[in-house]
Amino acid sequence: MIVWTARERLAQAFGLAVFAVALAGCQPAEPLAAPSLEESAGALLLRELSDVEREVLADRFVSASEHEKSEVVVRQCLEGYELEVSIEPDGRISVETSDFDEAEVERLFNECWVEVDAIREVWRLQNQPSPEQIAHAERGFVDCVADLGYVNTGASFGEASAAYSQNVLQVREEWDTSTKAENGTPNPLDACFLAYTEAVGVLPLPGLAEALAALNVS
Amino acid sequence: MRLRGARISAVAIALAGVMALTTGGAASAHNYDTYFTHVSAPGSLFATHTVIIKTTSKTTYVTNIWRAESKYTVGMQAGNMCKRYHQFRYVLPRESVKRTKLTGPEGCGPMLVNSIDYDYWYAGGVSTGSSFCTRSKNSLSGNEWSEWACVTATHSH
Repeated sequence: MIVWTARERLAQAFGLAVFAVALAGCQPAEPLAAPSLEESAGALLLRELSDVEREVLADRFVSASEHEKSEVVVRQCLEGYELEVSIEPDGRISVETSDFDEAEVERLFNECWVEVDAIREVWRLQNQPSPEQIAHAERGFVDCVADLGYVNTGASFGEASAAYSQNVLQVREEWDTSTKAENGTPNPLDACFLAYTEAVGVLPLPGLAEALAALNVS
Repeated sequence: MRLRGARISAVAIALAGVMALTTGGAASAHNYDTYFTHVSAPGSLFATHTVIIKTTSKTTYVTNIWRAESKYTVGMQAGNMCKRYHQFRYVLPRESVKRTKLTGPEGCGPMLVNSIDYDYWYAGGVSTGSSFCTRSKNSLSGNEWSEWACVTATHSH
């Protein structure tokens, strides 16, 4: 086991903080810039559609019943390979099995997933958070980090993000090895971040809105 | 019966000097045991993957896992993370065949420097002497799987 002296640990924390501040300061948590429509993840997703995707996306809209149908389609496909299907709390699909190795499970999962992934992602796009929801989530994150004393009240989201980034590794390590971690609760600083991501919700693939607008399935 | 945390150290060189990313290990608690292992992961500088196991009770006979987490720490980058996969690998009690649980990708999430993306699972019992492992991949890891991070279920009493 490596044992670090207090001085070494201070140097580590300082070095990390320099990077964290530098990178957090110049890279706010915004969607990665899509280089072009053709190269965006959204455009790639819509480039090849399955029959069910073509049918559903003909009107460039996914209804609730069509979203439910996509779940039935992927479930039937996965269960056809005797994979046990479950739906995660955030709506994502997971599979469980003992019949295949990990690579084979991934291959089968993706084989079924591509039948409906465009429907699922367009549904996410239609239900993405509004700018007001995102602003509210960012405000909540800033207030949470300020309550812990890492920034002053009224700090910007960028300042709170930088404070999170430069402090969270040390907080996480101390928390993970303390009795406070035993009930599964995250450390207070990560709790701020997780509350922020939960408030923001699941974001759509970059470039998907533009690609959908240009979609022609005739 | 207890879980023994494996330990893997990952060392990286940064402008600020030599820094240790992680040392894993086991943490003792009053009512539960928590074990975790960090491994280096593809992606940016200091990207790591971690398996965290919390047992149901110190006095439980079987190797009962209350909660298992697969956690990807993004390291020195920020931005949207998409195509998020997490995979668990384990052996059920009195069995010898490995099982796997894979959570598929859907949507994206905002990431800050050093922030995390994780999946959790209330796993239940696992076989004595077996390894409980997780790995992850996502767009910020270049869609490359991390190594498996594992803890081992062993007898202690």
